[in-house]
Amino acid sequence: MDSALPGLRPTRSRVLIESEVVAMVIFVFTEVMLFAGFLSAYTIIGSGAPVWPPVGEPELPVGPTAVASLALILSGGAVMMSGRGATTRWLGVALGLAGVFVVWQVVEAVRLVQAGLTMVSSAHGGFFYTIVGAHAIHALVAMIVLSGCLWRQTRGGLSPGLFKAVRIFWYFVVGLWPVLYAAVYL
Amino acid sequence: MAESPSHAHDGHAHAGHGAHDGHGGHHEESWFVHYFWSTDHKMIAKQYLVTGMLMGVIGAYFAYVFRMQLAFPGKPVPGYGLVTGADYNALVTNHGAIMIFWVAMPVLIAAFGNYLIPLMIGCDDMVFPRINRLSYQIFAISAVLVVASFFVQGGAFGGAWTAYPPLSAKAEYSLTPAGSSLWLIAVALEFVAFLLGGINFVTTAMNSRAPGMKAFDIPIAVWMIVIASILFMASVGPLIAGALMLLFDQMIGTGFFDPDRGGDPILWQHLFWFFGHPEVYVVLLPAMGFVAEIITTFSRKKMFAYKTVLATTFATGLLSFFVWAHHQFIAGIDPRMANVFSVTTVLISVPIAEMCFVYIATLYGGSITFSVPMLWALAFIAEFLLGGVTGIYLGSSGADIYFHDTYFVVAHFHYTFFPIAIIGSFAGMTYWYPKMFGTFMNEAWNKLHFWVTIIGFNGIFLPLFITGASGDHRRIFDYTNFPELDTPELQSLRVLATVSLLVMLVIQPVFLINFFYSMFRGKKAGANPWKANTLEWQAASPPPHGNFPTLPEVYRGPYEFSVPGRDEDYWPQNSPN
Amino acid sequence: MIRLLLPLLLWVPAPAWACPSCFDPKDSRQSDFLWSTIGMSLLPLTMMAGIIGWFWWSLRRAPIENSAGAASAGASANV
Repeated sequence: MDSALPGLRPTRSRVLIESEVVAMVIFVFTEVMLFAGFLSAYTIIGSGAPVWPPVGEPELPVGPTAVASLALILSGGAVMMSGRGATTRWLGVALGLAGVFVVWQVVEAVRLVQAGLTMVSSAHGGFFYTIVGAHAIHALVAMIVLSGCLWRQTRGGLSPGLFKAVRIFWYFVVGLWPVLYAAVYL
Repeated sequence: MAESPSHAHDGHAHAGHGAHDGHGGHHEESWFVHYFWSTDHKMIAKQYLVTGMLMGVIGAYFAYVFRMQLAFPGKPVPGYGLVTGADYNALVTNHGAIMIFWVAMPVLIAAFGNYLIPLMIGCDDMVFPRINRLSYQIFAISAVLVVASFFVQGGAFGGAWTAYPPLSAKAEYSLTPAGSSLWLIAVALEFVAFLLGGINFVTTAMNSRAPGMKAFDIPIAVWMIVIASILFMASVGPLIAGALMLLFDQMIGTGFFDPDRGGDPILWQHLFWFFGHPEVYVVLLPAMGFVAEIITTFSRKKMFAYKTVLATTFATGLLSFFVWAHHQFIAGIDPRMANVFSVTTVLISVPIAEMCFVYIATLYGGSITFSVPMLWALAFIAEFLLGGVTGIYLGSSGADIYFHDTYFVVAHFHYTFFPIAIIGSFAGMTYWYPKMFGTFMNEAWNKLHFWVTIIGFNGIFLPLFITGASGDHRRIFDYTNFPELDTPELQSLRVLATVSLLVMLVIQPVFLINFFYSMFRGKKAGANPWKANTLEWQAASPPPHGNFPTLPEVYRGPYEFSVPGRDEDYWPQNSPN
Repeated sequence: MIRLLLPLLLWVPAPAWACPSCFDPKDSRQSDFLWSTIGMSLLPLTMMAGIIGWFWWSLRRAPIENSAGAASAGASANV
């Protein structure tokens, strides 16, 4: 992402929406379809199974994850605030909250693996780790990019277009999660 | 994405903004940087073009080997040797995959998209030049991987380009433990490459247009490439999801597509075809766009119903999301779904037919020059029409029960894809060659190449309609094992197809030699040899880094040919009067 | 009119839903295939409509803060 900026071309016609934002919106479009594919597959396999999730599998931690989800959603709010002023502080808050979420995801995954739910134990386990893992990787990458923005902001070189694009990506990561949570955990 | 922070090209790229006199005095870039590390859209386009042509040669070689096996079963093929069943499967699979993902996509969308979009909309480069370079690099890696899959243990993947599980999901079924995973990784990387490219195309076309270029002043070719890119990006997500799941099935043993463990093999078809069908329109639209440019230029007429073409393009794009389940008519889908998808499938022929009518209407009354690009463009319409008409039989869910997996499907598919990927590419290459390299190709050799290719192509696939309708199943590698299909009549048709293929292949080196020879020895072409209006012809041939001496402004639409009251019969978009 | 309604009637009776490979015409996996097909087909169109709507909205709004928008775009472009 970062390398896009130094190589960005100046544009000449009246620019309605910054190039970075257009590019990010299109990218998010593709990402939404990626997760739509996962969810569609999950629904189909789930409804075809006699019992779903299969009997004898460890319970997913619905409650604690809900708390972690709250942290993620709040971080979305913090990122929104960071676009309106006090950027450094709000980005710090957002990264902290997002960190809570990602750390919880890792802890949860380790616990579930210990309890016997793995990628190969069943189709349900495979879907759980693929979907939740894909989201966690997105969150992680977005956090790295947000940290990059924070770093640039402290040095005064954060371009508004790029920052807006990164914020859009973060809204996507945050906005996607309740949907995944509802589909996978509930 | 780790790249050297301040690259030699960046100073260049920013300087290419009017201050062009300083161009020659710039630092010398090394040979490697110029050809392999360039951020210039024209060089990236040429990289895509040459890679695509190279992969095309490989794909054509595969076709030669398996066609020889079908016509003369059990005999060693000159230049290959004896074809085993596994070889045959690997060759057919990779012929399909390479021709679609590594020839049609890179040449039609990536090469011409990269080359034409900045030139046609009058800017000096893509909005994200480095992402563009990254796109080609990922694509090159994917091309290397797919070729490398032939040299790993177990050989290349042989489960057809659609990679249906369970055959593709488990090594004990596919017998290609490494080949199938390599193939899947290559395909996934290739999607990532086009995703990056497509984002660039859409953003550039939206934000970098020359001042004065309104939505309806954009050449059809740019519109079509942009719409195709959007279609690609809207449809590729589920397939990437499916590819990841299939890769997990292959490599770590998950059970997504394994019915024994709660999975469902039909699920793959669901995810694959969601992409697979829009993909057809992704490659069709750019070819349609080239044809529009060529037909208007060589009939010296204004595009008939420009806005109608745009509307039908949008309609095609919308409808293309509602036809994909027709690939699963006999996979046991819900009959309600089959009904709906039959209707939409037949329906999508309406906008495509309308485009063809519009092109014919553009020809009507024009002063037509039968130059080589024009011949290819006209051949495109004629041959694609045949492909479209045979698709109506296949789109009807009842008829498809009989036709499914016969050579009728193969012939129909090739009557659509050959015009798109090969005829469309040749049309584009011959039309923009003077712009790309500043010289003309030899016209006489090109005409010979055109006629032999077209006759050869029809000779291959017309017989296959007949064998397919007679029940020839497409997954058989040696018909001598099937007495009811091994009749002399059918076999003679297969031999006819193979001989036609040989004729077609023999002529291709003529084009290749002409292509590379003319770069150095061809007759010099001026900036605007075809007297066309679009902005790329107003730049020098070949355009220098930065494209235009002063970036153009646009005053009118792209197809103002033969305007009454003007001395010349063309009126460039950037000329004020 | 009846010709238009006839296909809709065909939608209704359960025996018409059966197919050679689905043993139960109301198999839940079958119907989920149907629904996710509908959903996945409509999703890109809705999103495209949303994005086009958003562009449209920005276009309509653009003249008001034109100078500010142009300034920020210029700033971002010249980094």
